[in-house]
Amino acid sequence: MEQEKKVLLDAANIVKTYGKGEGKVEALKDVSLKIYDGELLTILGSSGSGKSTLLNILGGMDRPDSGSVMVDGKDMCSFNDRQLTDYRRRQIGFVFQSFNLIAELTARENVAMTADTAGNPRIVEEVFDMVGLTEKMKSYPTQLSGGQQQRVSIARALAKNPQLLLCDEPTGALDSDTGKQILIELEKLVRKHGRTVVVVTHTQEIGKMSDRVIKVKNGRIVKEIHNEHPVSAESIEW
Amino acid sequence: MRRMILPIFKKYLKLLISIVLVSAMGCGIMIGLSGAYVSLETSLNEYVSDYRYPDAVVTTDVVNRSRAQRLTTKVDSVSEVTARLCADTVVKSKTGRLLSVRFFTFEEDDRQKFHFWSRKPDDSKDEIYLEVNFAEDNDIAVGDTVSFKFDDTFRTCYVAAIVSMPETLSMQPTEDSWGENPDFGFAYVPRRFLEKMSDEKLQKEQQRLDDEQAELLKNWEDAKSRYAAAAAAVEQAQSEADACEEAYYNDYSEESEQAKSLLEEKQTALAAEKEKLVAASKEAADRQDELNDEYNTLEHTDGYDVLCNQFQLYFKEGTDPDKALAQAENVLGAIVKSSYTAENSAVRNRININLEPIETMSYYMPAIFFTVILIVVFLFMSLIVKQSRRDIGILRALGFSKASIRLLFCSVNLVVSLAAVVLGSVVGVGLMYFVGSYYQAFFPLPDFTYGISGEMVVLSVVLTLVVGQISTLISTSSIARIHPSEAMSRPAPMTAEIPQLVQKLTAHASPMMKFSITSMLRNKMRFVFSVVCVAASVMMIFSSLAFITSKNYILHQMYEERIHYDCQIFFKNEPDDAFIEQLNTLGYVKDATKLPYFQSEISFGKQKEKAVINGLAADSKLVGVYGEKSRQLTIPQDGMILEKHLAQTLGVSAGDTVSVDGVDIQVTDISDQCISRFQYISPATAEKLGDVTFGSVICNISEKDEKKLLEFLSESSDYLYIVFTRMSLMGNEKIFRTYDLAAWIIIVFAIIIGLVIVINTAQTNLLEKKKELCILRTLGFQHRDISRNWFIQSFLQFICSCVIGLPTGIYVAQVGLQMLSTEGREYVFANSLPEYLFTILLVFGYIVVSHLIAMQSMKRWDMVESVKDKE
Ligand SMILES: Nc1ncnc2c1ncn2[C@@H]1O[C@H](COP(=O)(O)OP(=O)(O)OP(=O)(O)O)[C@@H](O)[C@H]1O
Ligand SMILES: [Mg+2]
Repeated sequence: MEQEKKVLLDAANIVKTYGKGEGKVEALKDVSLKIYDGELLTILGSSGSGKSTLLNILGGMDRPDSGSVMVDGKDMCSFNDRQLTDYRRRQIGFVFQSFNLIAELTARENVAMTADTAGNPRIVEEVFDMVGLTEKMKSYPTQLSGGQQQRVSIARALAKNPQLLLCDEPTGALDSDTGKQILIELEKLVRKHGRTVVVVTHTQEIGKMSDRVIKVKNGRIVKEIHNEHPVSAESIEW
Repeated sequence: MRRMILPIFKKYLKLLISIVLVSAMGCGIMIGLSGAYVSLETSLNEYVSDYRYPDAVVTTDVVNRSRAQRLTTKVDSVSEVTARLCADTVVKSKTGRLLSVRFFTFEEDDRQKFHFWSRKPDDSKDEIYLEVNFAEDNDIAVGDTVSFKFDDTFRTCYVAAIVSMPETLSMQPTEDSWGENPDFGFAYVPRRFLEKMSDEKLQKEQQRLDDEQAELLKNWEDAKSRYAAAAAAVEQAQSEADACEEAYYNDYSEESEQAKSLLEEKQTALAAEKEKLVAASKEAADRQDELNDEYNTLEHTDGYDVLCNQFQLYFKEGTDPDKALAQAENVLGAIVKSSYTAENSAVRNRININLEPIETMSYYMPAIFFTVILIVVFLFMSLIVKQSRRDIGILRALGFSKASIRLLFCSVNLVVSLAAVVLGSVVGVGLMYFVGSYYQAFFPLPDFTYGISGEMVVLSVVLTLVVGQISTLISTSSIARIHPSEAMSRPAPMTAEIPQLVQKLTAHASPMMKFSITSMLRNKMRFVFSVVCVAASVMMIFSSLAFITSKNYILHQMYEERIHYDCQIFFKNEPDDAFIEQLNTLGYVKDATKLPYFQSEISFGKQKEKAVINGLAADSKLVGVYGEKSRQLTIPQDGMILEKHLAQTLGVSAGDTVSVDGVDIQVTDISDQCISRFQYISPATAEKLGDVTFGSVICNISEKDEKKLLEFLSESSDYLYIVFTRMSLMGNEKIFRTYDLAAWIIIVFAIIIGLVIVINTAQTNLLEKKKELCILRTLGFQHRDISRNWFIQSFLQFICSCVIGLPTGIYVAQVGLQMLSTEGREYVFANSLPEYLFTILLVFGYIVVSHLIAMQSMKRWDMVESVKDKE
């Protein structure tokens, strides 16, 4: 069955090292990973294990020291800055642990701005509706709660209508109730809209709702679990 | 807490360094220019006193040693008197060019008053000393010989020394001058040399007198013998008459009647002749007395072509120069022609004319810069504190007191300020030596005493420290007051509504563009900060350029608007029409026209002013007369055009009638002239004023024919000197050298400070938006898009800065130029397109450069890193 699925991203032998000499940190040591179209993938690992680093490399925000990331038959590592930016713009939706909304712009403006750049954007109102924040569109990020901000940031990612959504600890800054809301939205995306979502988290429970779980430890993939029967996001508790 | 200082330095290193740089430049220019000014002032004053410039001068025709002696004995406060002979004559240089010189005699003792730039005495020759500028300008060196015209003959003299003395600071032939004229200079000749020459002349004169007297004596003897003969004849006739009368009484007859009347006739005739003879002999005796007088006078006056022979007076310490001078004039009596004290002298005037603008420039502009810099430092410092808002929040949350946080930032600022002050002092002292050395060369001064203006050092140091501390305190306090939890979060952005108009305008703009404009409008403080900083640079650069523009405008007004002739020749008397005709037929002289020159007293009501009046034909193309706003004026047939400043002092407006040396003339127009201000009347009106002060002729001539003209003029005994326009322009530019130097230093500083400010403003703007820009990058915005939009933002700020900066610059320049203006020279603010263009393009260039730098640093940013930290 796996063979039939289309591979969106194929990362092979990724190595990423920070610093030199004494303070040298090997964040990723030879990591290989495929991401399939239409799956919900969870990357699990404790703090400092290299999850974010991996996600950033997959999202074209960072380059590995060695290894390759194949997209549409091309190695992303050989992209120049322009191509890399283009890749981020066209194919990737990013949801950051720290929301990263632009403070000077209202929620709507934040979303509209990215939507405008995309080739095939969604209608902004529709996206807000999806994340259930229609009434807060005119608010500024500082006027929103953490959960609301995270939803705006998901709306921003969705507005581009990307094939691949990368979420770095989307629930990390949220209480479990709000977090669950977000997870429900992500689940909807995969199951209903056929998008691919990668969620980075250190909450084991989240893995239960995904198709595949990859465990990262000290910069290596230590375990890969295929979840034949993922539970619904509704039923997760942590 | 101490551990916190270093990270702050690390984080804001570039900004702090530029604060140090900018402050140091401010301190530097304050200390440097004021120091150079103080040095120049001190050196000039020392020069004047060290080389014994006289306390007062009395000019008379007669300067003899006995009168000098009398002055010392009769006026208590006079300690020393030098009698100097002085005259204007011409000198022919090696190249054959005729140069006008004013020469003074000097005694052996006077040598200490000279500064010898070089000297090679040769007792066997007639020696002459030349003033250093004059010699250099005309390429004459020690050891050369020049021909010196004395009593209509040229004598070869040996240039024994190149000298300067305080009086050579004033090189102008007359008070109201056209500037330095390299063709005119000072020469000094030993009195004995002149005496030798005058002895020869004296001997000749004496010979003439002797001859005349001999002739007279001969005539006298002749007359005497004729008188004796006549007297004998009279006696004879008398006795004949007596005999005749006796005969008549004794023997009356027709015949005897006839004889009698004949005799009577003869008698009357004789009596008449006798009377005549008596008169003649008396006349001869009178003439002889006169001759004797003349002879004696000759002995006393050393009489030759006298111009301003003078007694130089030195007073005892603590003397009131005005009083002492009055006493001296009293002793000298009627022979006094004019007098002045050192304070009123041309030298002092010249020193002041040079010093005043530099003084203003050396204090005013640096003070303006310094103020601007203080404002910029204030803004930068607040920015650092503002950007440390989160750190402050964390520290406060960890339990640090407000006081300790204030202390932290104040210490940072103190280190920065101290560094700035130290660096600034070094820059200042360096600048002082640099500028000072030029000042020394320009004047040229034999000794230059470098000094620093203590007040300016204290002022700049104290202000730098105090303003730095205050700005830090204010901004730190305002942030430390915020609740720690709030401080740790990002400050709420301004949530202002975007004006409808802007919304409409940007409706179809790119998302980036919309983002730029919205974020700009919602960050008003930041926008204002950038605009103020860039506007400050625009203002500084523009206003400093205005000083050069103004100078150029003065020269333009003088040499392009007013003067359309190549030279002006001065004569003792008004030359006649035949002479003008002669000039015009020389071939190489064109458009020779009389320009009668009067120094008259113009009075209006109770006001009186001395002024120069020129007679000029209305249709003359050689002189342009302009009113306000460069409106060309025509010289009226009967009236007069009065110069603006004089009109102001007198309270005259167009239409009023003023009295010129007692002649009533109506003022028809008011003219506008920055320097060398003249009044204009028609030649017909000039006739009414009577004798000219100088005769003058203006004409056109090409440079190659100048020598021929000089040669021609040297034949004329009425000729005084000539001013070639091209040389006068050169001379005027020389006068402005010190001004130029100070102005250019100011410009250079403005340009550098402006650059640092603009780059830093751009950098801080960028840093403040770093996170947003990184988010945009992660969202897939191209570097180029961001760059373009960022530039549009900077450009909008730049436009606003120009809108604010240029008018402020104009205002600052106007005030500065106003302060610079002296009684004789008005610096007006002149609009000049290149100045606007230069300022705008330069600052635009800065914007571009800082944009490129900013974009370069943006490329190096670690996107992941920047978006990682939660705020
Ligand atoms: N810019 C950097 N410079 C140096 N080391 C870094 C840098 N970024 C990450 N690291 C190191 O790389 C390792 C992996 O970091 P990463 O951010 O991927 O961890 P993570 O799994 O996302 O942790 P967390 O769950 O806390 O977010 C860590 O040990 C971290 O210290
Ligand atoms: Mg992480």
